[in-house]
Amino acid sequence: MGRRQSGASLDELREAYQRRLAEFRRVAAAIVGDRELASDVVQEAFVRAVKQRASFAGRGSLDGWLWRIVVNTARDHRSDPVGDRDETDEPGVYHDMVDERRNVVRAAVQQLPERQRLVLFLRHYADLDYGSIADALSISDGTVAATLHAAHSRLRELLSEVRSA
Amino acid sequence: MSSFNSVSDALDLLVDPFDDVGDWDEIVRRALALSPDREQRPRQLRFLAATAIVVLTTALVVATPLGAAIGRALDGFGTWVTGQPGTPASPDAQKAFQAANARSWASFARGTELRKLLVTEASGATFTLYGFRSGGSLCLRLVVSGSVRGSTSDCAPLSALQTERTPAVVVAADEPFGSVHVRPDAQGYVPEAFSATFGIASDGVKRVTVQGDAGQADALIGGNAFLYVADHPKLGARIRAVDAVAANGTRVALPFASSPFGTLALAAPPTGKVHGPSRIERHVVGGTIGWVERREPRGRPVPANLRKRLVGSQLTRGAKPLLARLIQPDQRDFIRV
Repeated sequence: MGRRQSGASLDELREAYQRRLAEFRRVAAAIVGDRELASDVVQEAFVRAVKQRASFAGRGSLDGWLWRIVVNTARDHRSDPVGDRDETDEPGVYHDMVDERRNVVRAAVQQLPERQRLVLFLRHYADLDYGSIADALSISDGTVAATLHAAHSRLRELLSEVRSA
Repeated sequence: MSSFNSVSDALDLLVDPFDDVGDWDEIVRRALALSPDREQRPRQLRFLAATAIVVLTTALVVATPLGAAIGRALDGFGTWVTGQPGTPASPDAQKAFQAANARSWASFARGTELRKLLVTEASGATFTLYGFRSGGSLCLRLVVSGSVRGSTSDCAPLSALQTERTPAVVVAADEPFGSVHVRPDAQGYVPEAFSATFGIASDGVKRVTVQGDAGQADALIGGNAFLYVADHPKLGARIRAVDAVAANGTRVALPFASSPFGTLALAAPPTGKVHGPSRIERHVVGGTIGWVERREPRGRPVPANLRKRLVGSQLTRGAKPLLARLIQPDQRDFIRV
């Protein structure tokens, strides 16, 4: 979404919110580790966006600007977990195979550097192309490609280690 | 132990997709309410604010005479919209809430900030009503300490409040706390020590009156909330009507379902529009119910004769129940479990 003028209109923000809400929330959930909190985070991010909409310079895409706000807001609310919070972590509570596998993935993803995690989340959960990810994280396209490759390799390696353990 | 076909499969497992709808109106409302300088707000935003107020006012005016009375002067649930009703809760109360929330099976978002709305005392017990926002809902938490201890939290969706045709909403009615140590009646019931009725009121509501089997009384009102505590009510005494009263005296009855007394004394089902999701939003597997695990006596006691019948029945598969309570999950519905 290229722009020539500065400032974003409410209509544009609403359209982006409605079009990409599920992706915003999924990425936020991956960052903060809590689905409910992720919904709050996206709401909070868009409150910020509406309030600051005049400051959108129009140099990059509106989507990139919004992703930057969502990611930063999520990072402000982030706690230790990655991915959906697992309420079965409490001792003595029922576990099933899905929980167990999810915990394995969470542990592996937590070992990745933050930039690799963010690139991975934006690519996988929001299906953003390299240019949009670069825009959202304020890095170059080349860095996105290299970071994503490194993230995939490391994650594959970590999950293989679990499998062979 | 675990295997994944690809990194993509593994990531799919980590975070389930979302498919619920958002609340754009809430964003605009919050952005308007939090704006540091209303004068410098862009014209389009001002227009939106004006439209929102007109829509809210129109809904109230069309719906009720009280709406007409208060619609001219209020901003609806103003302090809730800004998230600042009442005063900040004490650090201890906030900490206790966070601890209870962490244990809860259906917990609220981490970092949820409690606000103290109302406090009252009765027969050695202190009743403190807190408010907090959770996603798209306004929630009330009543904490009782002193001669009786207990707590309960109930929420009302913000969307329901905005479309509600009344200027106040009963969130909980005749919520019981403690019981009196007397001989049970013929059906095995004992009266409760206290029963509390509370809810959310818009800015224009000056009084909330409750009409019960024991007569009429005024509820405490403040922080866009109201609270009424019946001190040692008679066995089976219930609130039958709750009215909101505007400054000019206009009165509107608030809809709610009186809590029924007796196992089979079911009230007529409530009328009106059904709120809440129309489909399953989330499947929950496993888990525990915190207050059951802690043997917390929520709801009402199960009559003694019914308890006897539960022991060794098919319902309990022959086991002796550790805790049996009658719970009314929805204050607008007479169904109890």
